[in-house]
Amino acid sequence: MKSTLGLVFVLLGMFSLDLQAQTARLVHYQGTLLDSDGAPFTGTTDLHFAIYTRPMAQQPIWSETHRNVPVNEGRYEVLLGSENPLSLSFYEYYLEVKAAGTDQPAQRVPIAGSGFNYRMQFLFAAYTIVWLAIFLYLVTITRRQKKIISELELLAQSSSSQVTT
Amino acid sequence: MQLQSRFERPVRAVGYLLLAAMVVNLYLIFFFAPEERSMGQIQKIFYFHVPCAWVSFLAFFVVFVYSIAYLWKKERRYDLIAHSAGEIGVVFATLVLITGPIWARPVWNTWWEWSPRLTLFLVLWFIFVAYLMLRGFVEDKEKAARFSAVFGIVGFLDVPIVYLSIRLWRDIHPSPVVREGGLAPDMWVAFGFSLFTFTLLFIYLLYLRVQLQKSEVALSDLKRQLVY
Repeated sequence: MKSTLGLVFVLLGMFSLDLQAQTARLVHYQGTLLDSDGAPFTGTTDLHFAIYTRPMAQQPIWSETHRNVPVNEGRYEVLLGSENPLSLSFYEYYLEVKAAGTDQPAQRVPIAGSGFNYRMQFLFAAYTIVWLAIFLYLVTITRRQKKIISELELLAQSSSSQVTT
Repeated sequence: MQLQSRFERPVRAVGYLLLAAMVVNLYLIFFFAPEERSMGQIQKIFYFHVPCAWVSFLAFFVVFVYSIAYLWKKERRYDLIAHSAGEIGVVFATLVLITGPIWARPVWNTWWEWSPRLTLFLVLWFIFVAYLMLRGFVEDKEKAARFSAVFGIVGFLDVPIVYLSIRLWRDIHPSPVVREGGLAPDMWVAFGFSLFTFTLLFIYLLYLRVQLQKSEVALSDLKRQLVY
């Protein structure tokens, strides 16, 4: 029973870490799109988004393409993670945006965790501390109990052997 | 060990119920309870910060009741229960003092404020840490139990003051949303279930801790018998 309870505590802790790892599932992103003359673009276009860990990294750690994104006077907005789930623990990454039909190398912009993610870290820290502390307390009680029981058995054995001699 | 055999089955049932309740509680806190409008996700600390405070108050109340019972009846088992409850109370009060600042940092932009509620709760924590230390300082077990019982009764008097502090004085700590109906119905479900889970956890821990105390007493008695 106690070991099952311990297992559940460990699973709860792992679950919290897993949740923390998957904090940012959707990120609202607004951008500006200019045509080849530098004028704000109006219409629809395909946009490819990719996230890198470093500005010059070759392989993206996440990417997705949004089809027929409406762009009004150069402004567009998308929800990153709506096509390909985002499971990033946000600290600092580099986002690359590329519009369909452009040959120019896309520029990477740094993105950092929002207030939401910052606050989520506090929540998960508190949650993990609570269950970890309770789990450790439970383990301490159980180990002390086991130690005392074995000591009691040892003493009972030695006292019975004294009686027989 | 008559008490152990009598309560073994119900406590095992409580243990299994606790396992299920912990998983359901997790789901309710993270997926069922809605996000609070102004604070966002960080408000969810409330679902285990307040139950931790509730368990610590409950534990100190048990100390209070069993300390009176010990002084009245002079039976060792009452002191064992009071001591066990005191230790569990300190564990949960420590968790309150940890989770509170973790919530306060992003919301108040500070880890700690010397407000009446926070200061009085810290004083309560010190009182019961001293309560546990007192037993180690006094060698005579009976004397230690008697002193601790008096200390536990006097220490508990801080609990209602902590509870009433936000009504008695101006305080930065949030007002009691539970009594004033500041929670959405789904938040109530998550909060109520969390209180239930933590109360079960307290019962389970108290049983284990009392059993440990009994084993320690049995061991020291046996050692004494072997010496004489």
